[in-house]
Amino acid sequence: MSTRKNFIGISMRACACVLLCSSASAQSTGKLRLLVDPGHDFAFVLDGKHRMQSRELDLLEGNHRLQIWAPTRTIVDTTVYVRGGSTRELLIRLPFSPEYRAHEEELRKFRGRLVLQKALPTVVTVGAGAWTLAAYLKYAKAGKQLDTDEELYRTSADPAEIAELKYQSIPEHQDDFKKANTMLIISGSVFALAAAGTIWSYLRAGNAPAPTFDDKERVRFDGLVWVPSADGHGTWLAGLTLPLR
Amino acid sequence: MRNTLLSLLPDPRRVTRRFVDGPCGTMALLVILLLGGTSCYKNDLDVAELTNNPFDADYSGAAIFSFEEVVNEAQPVPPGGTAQYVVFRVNSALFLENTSYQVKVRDLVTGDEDLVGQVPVGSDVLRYQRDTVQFGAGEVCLELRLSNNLSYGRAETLCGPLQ
Repeated sequence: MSTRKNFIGISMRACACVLLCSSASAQSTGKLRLLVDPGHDFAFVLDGKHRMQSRELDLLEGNHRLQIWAPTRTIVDTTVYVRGGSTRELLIRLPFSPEYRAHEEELRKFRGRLVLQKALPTVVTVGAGAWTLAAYLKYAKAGKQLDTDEELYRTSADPAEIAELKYQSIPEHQDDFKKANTMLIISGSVFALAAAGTIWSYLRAGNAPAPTFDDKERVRFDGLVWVPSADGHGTWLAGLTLPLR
Repeated sequence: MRNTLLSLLPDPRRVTRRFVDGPCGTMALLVILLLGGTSCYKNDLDVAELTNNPFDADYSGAAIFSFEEVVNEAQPVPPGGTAQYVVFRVNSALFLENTSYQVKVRDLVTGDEDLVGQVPVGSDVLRYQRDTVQFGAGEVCLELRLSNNLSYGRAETLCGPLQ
């Protein structure tokens, strides 16, 4: 009888020892180092409970669930096993969210439209302005040349020079002036049209609102966490993106 | 329908504000400066109207030359004889600029030609020495042209009585 009692006692002690040992081994902690891209503003929810922003964690040995998110990125939900007394590095690159990809595409199109509506007309106007300036300089030169011819006629005392001036130089210079005048009218008209078009284009482009990014992944991520309030009831968090102008 | 069309138009005050403040205003200012800063030239130089320079072959103003006198001078040195000069005056007041000149002379009686300069320099009274001396009650006629660099202006005919 006493032998049986002893056996039961030993068995119970052994069980207690196993339980204690296993309990002691479950309490040992390991280090988890997070190497996340993007590294500056990611956040994560640990084991579905704790929202954190840390690069290094001391965790009890065992599996831990991590839901990692960063602005513009999609949530990565993963489970990692942490071994007690060791450090584990978790290397994760958060992919961009489909909404952000769509926003980027929309933004690219918007910028393209802006380039089309602002830069292109501006370049055309500047080009037309340069053309007009060049045409005006040529026109002014031709006009001054005629003034010079008139002055030369007044001051010349050389009959041959006067004859050449009247029957060769002046008609040629008048022809140059006429061409320069026509070119100035054309370029000036193009410039005026381009300037008017640019102004209209700027006004039109100014009315178009820039696309805003609505980070739906953030809403999802905020909804993952339960934060206890002061009265112990707690609240579920949710996110909302407001475009500020 | 009218309201719908009006609603499509931008608010005038907003447009004005944007226009003045934004790049449109700068551009408009540049256009105004460019247009305002330019000066216009006129192609009003009519070659047919350029006839007021006495050195111009197409000169159409007042007479340049005026007859003074015919002078007969005895030559003191051998072979002696008499030299005959036709003295005429050039109305240099008609010149648009003060300048020196020569006068191309053609004797319409003898057909002789000569180039007469200003003696002394700056003098407007010139003397043409005839190669063939004529005396009597007749007259001498000269065709005169202002000249420089071996080119000639309008011809004028000048006649005067012989001595």
